[in-house]
Amino acid sequence: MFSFKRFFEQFKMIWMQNAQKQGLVLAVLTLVIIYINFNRYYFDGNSSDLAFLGMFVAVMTIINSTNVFSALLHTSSGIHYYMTPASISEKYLAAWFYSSIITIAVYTLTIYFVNLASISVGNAITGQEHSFVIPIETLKEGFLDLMFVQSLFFLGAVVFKKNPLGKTLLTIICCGFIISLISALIIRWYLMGEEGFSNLSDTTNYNLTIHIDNINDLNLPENLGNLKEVLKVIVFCIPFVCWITAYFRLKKREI
Amino acid sequence: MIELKNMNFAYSKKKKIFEDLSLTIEGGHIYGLLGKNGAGKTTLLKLMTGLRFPQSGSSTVFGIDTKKRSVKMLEEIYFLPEEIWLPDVQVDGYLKMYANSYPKFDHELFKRCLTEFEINPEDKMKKMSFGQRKKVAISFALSTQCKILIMDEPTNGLDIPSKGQFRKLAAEVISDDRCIILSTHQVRDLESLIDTVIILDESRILLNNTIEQICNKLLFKTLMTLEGQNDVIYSEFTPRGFLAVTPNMNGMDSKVDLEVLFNMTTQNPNLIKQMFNH
Repeated sequence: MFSFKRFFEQFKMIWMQNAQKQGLVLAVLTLVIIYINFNRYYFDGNSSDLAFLGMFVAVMTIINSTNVFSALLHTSSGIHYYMTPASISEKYLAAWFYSSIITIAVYTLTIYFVNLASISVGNAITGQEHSFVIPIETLKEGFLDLMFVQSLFFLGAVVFKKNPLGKTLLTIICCGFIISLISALIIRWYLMGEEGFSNLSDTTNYNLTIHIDNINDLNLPENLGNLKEVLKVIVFCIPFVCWITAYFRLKKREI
Repeated sequence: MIELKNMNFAYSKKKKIFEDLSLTIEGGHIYGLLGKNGAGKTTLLKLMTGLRFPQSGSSTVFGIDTKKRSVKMLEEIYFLPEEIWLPDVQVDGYLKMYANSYPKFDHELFKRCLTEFEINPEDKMKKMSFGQRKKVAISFALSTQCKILIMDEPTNGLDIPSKGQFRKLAAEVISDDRCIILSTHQVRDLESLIDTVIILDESRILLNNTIEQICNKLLFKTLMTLEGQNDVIYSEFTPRGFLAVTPNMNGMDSKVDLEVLFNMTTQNPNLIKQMFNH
């Protein structure tokens, strides 16, 4: 039977173990945002702050997802983890909640409030009138992307016994390469007989180069359009598959 | 309390660790699990606690399959491994993090254990020596009030006075509905504490008897010479004479020397089998 009390206890354990490190990271993040805002608004610097902050949250999501099961890296901490009285679902959900919702919420809120505060202070000091607008659409898209990334590294943390971060990265790169290769082959196979294919593909050297600039000129076959939809569904399902696999791996793992 | 039935376990197809192993652990005892290096003591403890799963046969705690790792089971069994892990917090912080997970946790006992071991609750774990951290872990283990307490090499890293304190505290917490399993190579440290001996060798249990049963069957004595001592079934030479074992025909009392008993059992498994009807 799922117990919220035990779930909370598990969450508290993860929180307390990471509190010091997270505090330090948030302090650094605060200083970076202040620097970026003053540079952007008041010293006319060249800024790409949103992309940078998005990248920062993504990196922290990766780190937290990988570290949330760091107890499994060593026999002694693994024993401690599995012997603590709580069900696997309580332990799993506490780890999931911390590495996804809490991590993203804490960093997003920090970014929001520090931006708000630093711009208010900057306006007061300089007499200028800048405003901070929350990019809701970007946040929504960013959240889904972060959940995708989180699920991959969360699964990697449970599957790999040593160096889960490196091994997950390597697996993603390898899978990405294989998927790209297969996609390129499929596209080439579909487009082989299409009009205008010779303009797109360098058939002389018989390679897979496709000139991106010209691809919009081509009428994609209906089947290829469907494939795109199928791929969208697959990408949407990946986080759920990773989370479910991670749960069963955690349940069956031996120390 | 713990029941292993016809259990088989191997890390690889070539090397079997346990073959058709059966064992029952009952309340009210302090078990000493003895075995050579690589005999499978730690693996056996992991199988008892659900950290490893048997390939066939069963392992149950209070009738619950250990594979399930159920909360009910975990609340009643505490496993202190040889290499301990403690988070990088103060002793008090550790208590805040983990004590609530054990419904019967005794805070007063924990304080008392720390006082006995001379540990300051405000000290940070990171700054402690291995021995000090082990004392914190032992204090926590004893205070959980779990019915089954499993400790792998608990006296490793403890200084001489702390070994005595450990024996005293462990003896205090034992009751009819609780048991302690101590896996150790340091038999001299725990000789006075153990009341049941389990000797593990070559994937089987050679001996599983109480000290009383062993005393009833065997007589441990020191002899200056073995000449004329026809009833000696095992002996070891020491500078102080021969540590000898003879059958106890007249019901005499003697102190079981666990080291001698272990050596005798592993060297003469068939004799032990005959004597104790395993």
